Amino acid sequence: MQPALSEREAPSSHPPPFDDARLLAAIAAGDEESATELHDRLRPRVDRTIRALLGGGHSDHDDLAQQSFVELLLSLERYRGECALETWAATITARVVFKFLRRRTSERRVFMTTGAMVAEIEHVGPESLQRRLVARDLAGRIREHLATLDPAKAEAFLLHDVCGFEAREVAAIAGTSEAAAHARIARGRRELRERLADDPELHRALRDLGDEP
Amino acid sequence: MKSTPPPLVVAAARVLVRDAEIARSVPEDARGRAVLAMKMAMRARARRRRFTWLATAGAGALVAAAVVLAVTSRQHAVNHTASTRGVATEPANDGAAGRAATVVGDVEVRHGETSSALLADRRLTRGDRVVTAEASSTAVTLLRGTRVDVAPNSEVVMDSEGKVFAFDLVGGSIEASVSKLLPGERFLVRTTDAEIEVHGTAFRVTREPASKQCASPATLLTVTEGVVSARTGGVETFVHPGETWRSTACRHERADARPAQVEPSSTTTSIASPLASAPAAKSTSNLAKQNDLFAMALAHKASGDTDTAIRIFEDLLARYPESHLAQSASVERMKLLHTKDPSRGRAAASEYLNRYPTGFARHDAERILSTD
Repeated sequence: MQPALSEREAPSSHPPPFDDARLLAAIAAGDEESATELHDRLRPRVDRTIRALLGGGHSDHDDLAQQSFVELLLSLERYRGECALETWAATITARVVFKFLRRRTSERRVFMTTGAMVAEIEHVGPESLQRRLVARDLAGRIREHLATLDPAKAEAFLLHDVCGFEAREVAAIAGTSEAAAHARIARGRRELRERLADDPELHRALRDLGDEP
Repeated sequence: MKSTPPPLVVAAARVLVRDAEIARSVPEDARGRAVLAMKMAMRARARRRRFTWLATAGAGALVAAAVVLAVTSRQHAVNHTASTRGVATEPANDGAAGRAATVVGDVEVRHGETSSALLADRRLTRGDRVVTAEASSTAVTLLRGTRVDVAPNSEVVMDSEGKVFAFDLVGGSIEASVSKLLPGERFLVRTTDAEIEVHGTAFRVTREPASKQCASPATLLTVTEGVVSARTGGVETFVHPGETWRSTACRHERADARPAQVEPSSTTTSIASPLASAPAAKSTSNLAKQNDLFAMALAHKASGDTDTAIRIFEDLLARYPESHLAQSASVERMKLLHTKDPSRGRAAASEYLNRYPTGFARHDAERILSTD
């Protein structure tokens, strides 16, 4: 399955581009202005990762983004250029989000949709607004089903199939073995499929989407 | 092991991916706060590095008296190698309360009615009472490099259990250098009239006997780095680098002095309603301290220690009500309180709107106020 957010780059031995190196050197040297540059450069990826895991318009979105950037800054010393800087940022963000999720497990509100979603996409043009609202509605309903799964399996599915992390990365983020991560991904998919199959309307909509070119 | 996802799940994942890719512009205040938090973290990291370099270079005398004492104490240990029974650097890693890394001179360990000489590398467990004689000392190491130096003529009882590292200081003095604590971990030093809890890294606690100046015994806390909270008589005070806190007032001090005092310029922090109590606090222009506090609170928030994060934001607001970070701290506190205790969150939102009626987080405050 080729999932995941665009700009996904598999870990490789390629060194980071020159701009990354310059930016990281400036951060290491304590150049505060480079913090702004790092933020603006990585914010889209951080935002997308949070939205992929929590859904759009989550009330804690900005707080989690802020925490992710502080964690990212403090962890840059460990970044060795073995993957793209964006991938590193997504990994750190996923860890921050799951730390948050574990604290909020009992509330079960993390996969839910909120009224803020509509406000969030108000800026799009009228032609695409209806399509996006439909997509939002579908996404919200999928997340409602995800909220009924075991959180560990839902996390594994989201990290692997939506965020595009490899199983070993899922394992590292979730603090488990790679084998356990594989098992969680497979069970998460199976259980989600069962939930979706029991929702005829959603099932039909997704099947129609699957038929799209 | 690779499995192929069912088409229905592939379609669902695709919907979620598309949903996540709907871009939105980042609100300017959110961007500003994130960048500010990053800059604070950079400054705190830079200061930590400078401090480490200074200490390593032997320039500790320039930093603070407590650091001087620590260096002197360690040098003293080196000079008395002949009387050292052994040296070990391995930290405790087997669930013990600690391990004696170095022992200089006559140091005794008592447990119940048994008593024996403390040898280096000995494992110390809960209830062990370590007693140092004149010109004798020991260093106790805990997990991850945390170290407690027990000064000559001191007596301390190990009282650690689980994730709580605790020392009961009966007399004399100990100096602690505490590594970063993990979520749920605490580091405490207790005396008969005070409880010292670390939120930073280096401090010194001394149990002072009664004297001409102080009619009753007192606990003296000197902080070298980071922030340490001290509690006595139900009042919690945050003590900052370079400050000294005393659990009881002494005779030479002014008559209306409060029981617990921070010198030279701090105030006791009330946990309730810092915005309301702000006028009573002194305002200084010490930007480094403000930045440190803000960064530390954010770090606690990031680690999930919400209670401590709230307390530090409140401390910042009480001590520096006119700080450039005051509004951001108010907002952070309001949001954290809203997640912990909605009624206090609403009170904080109301305080925020009173003080910042056109503030950047007014919509958040109004949303909090409108929740049941």
